[in-house]
Order: sequence, then C-alpha cells, then structure tokens
Amino acid sequence: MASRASAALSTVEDTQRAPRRRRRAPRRTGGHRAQLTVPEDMWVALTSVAEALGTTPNDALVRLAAERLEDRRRALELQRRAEERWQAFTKASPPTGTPSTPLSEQQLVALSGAFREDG
Amino acid sequence: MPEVWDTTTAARLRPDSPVLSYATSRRKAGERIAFTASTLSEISYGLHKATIAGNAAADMQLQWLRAQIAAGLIAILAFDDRAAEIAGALRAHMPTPPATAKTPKRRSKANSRVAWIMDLQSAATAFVHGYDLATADTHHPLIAAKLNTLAPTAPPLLIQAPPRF
Repeated sequence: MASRASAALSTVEDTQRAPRRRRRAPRRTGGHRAQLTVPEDMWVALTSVAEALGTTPNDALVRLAAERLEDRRRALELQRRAEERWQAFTKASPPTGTPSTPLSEQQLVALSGAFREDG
Repeated sequence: MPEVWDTTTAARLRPDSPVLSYATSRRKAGERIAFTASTLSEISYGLHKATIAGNAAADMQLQWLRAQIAAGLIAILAFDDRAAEIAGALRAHMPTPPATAKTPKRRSKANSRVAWIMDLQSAATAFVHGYDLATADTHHPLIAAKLNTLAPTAPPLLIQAPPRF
C-alpha cells in the first residue's frame, strides 16, 4: 500500500510542477530487440551521457556500442593489413639454399657491425 | 586508412594551433593521428636539447606533448621486431639516401646517415602497423617503392601529402 500511496503522491506532485517533456530516443526501424541487465554504475554513467546528448539511456547505450564497434572494425582492418604486409615480406624472401657451414661468431659480429660502418 | 605523420608535420603540434584542432577532429572521428616511435625520438631530442640549454618553453612543450600522448590524442607506433627487421632489410638494399632534388645540402654526411636511418625506421614502422605515411620528404616515395619490391603482394605503403592546416 505504501507504494500506491507514494505513487499517488508523486502523481499529485507531478501535476503541480510544470509539465516536463519526456526524452524520447530516435525511432529505429528494424534491428533486434534485446532485454538486458545493465550494471548499476554503468547505468548511472549512461544516464549522465544521455542527458548530455539529450536522449535516453537506452539510446546512449546503443550509440556508445556503435562507436565502439566502429573503433573495433578500424582496429581489425589495420591489424589485417599489418599482417598481410608482414606475410608478404616474409614470403618474398625465401631461403637461398642449404649452407655448407653456418656463419662463425666472428662473421656474425662483423655483419652486425656493418650497420655502423656502411654509408 | 589512418596515417602516420612524419617529423616535419608532427613537430608542428602545439597548444591552440590548427594542427591540434585537426588532430582533435580526427580523434573525434575515430581516426587517431599516429607518430612512429622514431619520430617521437626526433622531437624529444630537439626539445630536450633546448631544455638543457635553458629554454623553459621547450620543457613546457615536452610536458604538454607527453600529456597529449597519455590522453590518447596521438597513437605512438612501436619500432618492434617486425619493423626492425624490415628497416634492416631496407638499409641493406639502400645503404645511403638516394640523391633527390630536395636533399638538404647543409647536413654533414654523418647527420644525413642518421636522418636516413630514421626515415627507414619510420617507413618500416608505418608499414608493419598497417598505416599510410603523410610526409613531404622526397625520400619516402623511394623507400615505399623499395618496400613494394621487398613485399610485392602486400598492400602498398601509400605516401600522402601532409594535411594542410
């Protein structure tokens, strides 16, 4: 009964205040309807983001998810291109044959030293 | 594709500048500007050198730049194992900078060699991280062409003109 009483009170209060326009999210046609539990702290943060954007927390959640998905798509595209380049580089330099003897330590040091000597 | 700025463009990033506005707008659009670690090293060198000489504004710029990087305005691309191998391969094929019409004549041979190695490192870094390179340096198209021969089936490293501010 207490809840009914408070509901009634709030109705009285609401009618006494200036009418407040309810925020509405843009109507999305198509897509998948989902019911989900949002952690409380996330909901608080979403509510303030929604207020800044002038929309509802649900819509803010969808917008943030869309931004994050776009970031992820870009990151994956970069990663794919990076991998393609590396694979192309390694495949373009096949082994030159089997050596009769491996390089000596002295030869290896001399070859590395060339970086500082050449040019 | 997102681009890496070379030192000539990257060094112009400062507070209240059109370069900063451009970088900020790119970040908001989800396409962060990137510097290579080699470029950051070049910028850091100049600012630290000036700071040591008593230039407080250089020190302030250094701290500001550090804060922008920490805040995620700019991505810094690591000179990692793949970039190091490709930079080495590039130098083995091109030990010294090719003569170009715009090669600065004021540099000593030793300094030209350092600049050349930094150019190779930056190009290799952009390449292995999947980026393109925004630069006005006339050496970079030659380096990109060499990369195309070293990795002929790879998506090429595109050289773009630096953005206009």
